[in-house]
Amino acid sequence: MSNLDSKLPELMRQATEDLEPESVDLVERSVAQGTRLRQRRSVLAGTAAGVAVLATVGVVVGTVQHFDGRADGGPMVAAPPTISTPAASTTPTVQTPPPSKAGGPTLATLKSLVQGPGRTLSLPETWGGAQDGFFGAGLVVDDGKGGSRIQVLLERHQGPASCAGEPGCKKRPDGSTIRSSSLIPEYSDDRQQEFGIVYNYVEITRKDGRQISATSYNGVSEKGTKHTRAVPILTVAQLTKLADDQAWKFPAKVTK
Amino acid sequence: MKGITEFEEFARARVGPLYRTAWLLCGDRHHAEDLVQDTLANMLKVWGRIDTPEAYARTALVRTFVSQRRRRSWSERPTADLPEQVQASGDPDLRIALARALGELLPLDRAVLVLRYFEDRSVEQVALDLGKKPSAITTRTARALERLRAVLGDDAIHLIAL
Repeated sequence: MSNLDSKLPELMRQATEDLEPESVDLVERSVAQGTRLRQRRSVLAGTAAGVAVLATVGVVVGTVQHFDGRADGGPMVAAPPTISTPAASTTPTVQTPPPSKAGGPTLATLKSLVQGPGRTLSLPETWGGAQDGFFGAGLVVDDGKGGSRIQVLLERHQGPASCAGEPGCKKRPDGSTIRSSSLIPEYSDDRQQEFGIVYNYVEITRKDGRQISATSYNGVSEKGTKHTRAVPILTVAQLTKLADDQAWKFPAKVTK
Repeated sequence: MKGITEFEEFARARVGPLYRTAWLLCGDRHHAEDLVQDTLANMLKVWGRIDTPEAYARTALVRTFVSQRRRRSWSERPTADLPEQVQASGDPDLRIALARALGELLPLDRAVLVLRYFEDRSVEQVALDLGKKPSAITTRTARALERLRAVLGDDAIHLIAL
């Protein structure tokens, strides 16, 4: 058994030979998830939960220029936020995300737009901030028929808005663009049967580049919990109205 | 500027290799597909700023795996239903044995072995990938191999003889 290390590469190669994803739409789902990622709560995107991960992992400084050599301080991909990158440092350091400074107003606006008679609001949360270049907020709205998580994310892109040939994107008369989807299953495997989460989604980019995306789920969270109602509380049309509201305050920083 | 079409081309070309690495890390197809999906989705978010997509994807995949396991956002699935029963090709016994053995390792140790022995990364490269010191990778590699030998037991002799 002493030569396990020399045999391991071949063992791994043989074990994975011919393995292919069973989900034929894996790439499509990845693209769909990626395009709405900033709108969705991600504990690895510089949130408080991300800090908890850092504290647990105790990640040591690494230097991977191609990977996280970011100069603009914008939102980071899942893995990179866990590593800070002073090139010559040998001292373990942890880069903590900047505190959220604008989640409050975003959440307050969200609350004001979704509240109504017979509705209760719970589980509020915010993420992002001015330094991140995006403001995120979410909460659960219950109209007596079950809780529905609603999330928004506000960013500012370089204008003017453009669909750039993206399928499913439409240009509106006011120069803004809109992308939307309804009753999208959260999972592509048998967990969809188990949890039954679906969501409605709208992303509007105003003519000047201000972008807001809004999602409503038919459960209190996007993953890991069973759905609480048949359909999300807000339809695509209602999400569109919410996203078009002029009360939203967008970050000043342009996201590249 | 790189667009979504270029990303889709990249994703289609790399989804297989990424999935195989993910399978070694996760030990079952559900989590492996989730891991690949999360990795690709996160890449799309910053696609325009990625200079070396293949290297980025590999590193992001492994880091995402380690972070997710740390957070326990995935519930570990019982292994009574052995993985990849649906796979018609390859060696199912080897897959099962290796998946079980790797599953006994700490996620970070699993990641180290996969990067070192499947991705053929050097100690220094793995250290950069995982944000660790090279000495830590060396130590983890030795410890993980020892653990793997102990878990495989007699199976190791059979597997190595393959």
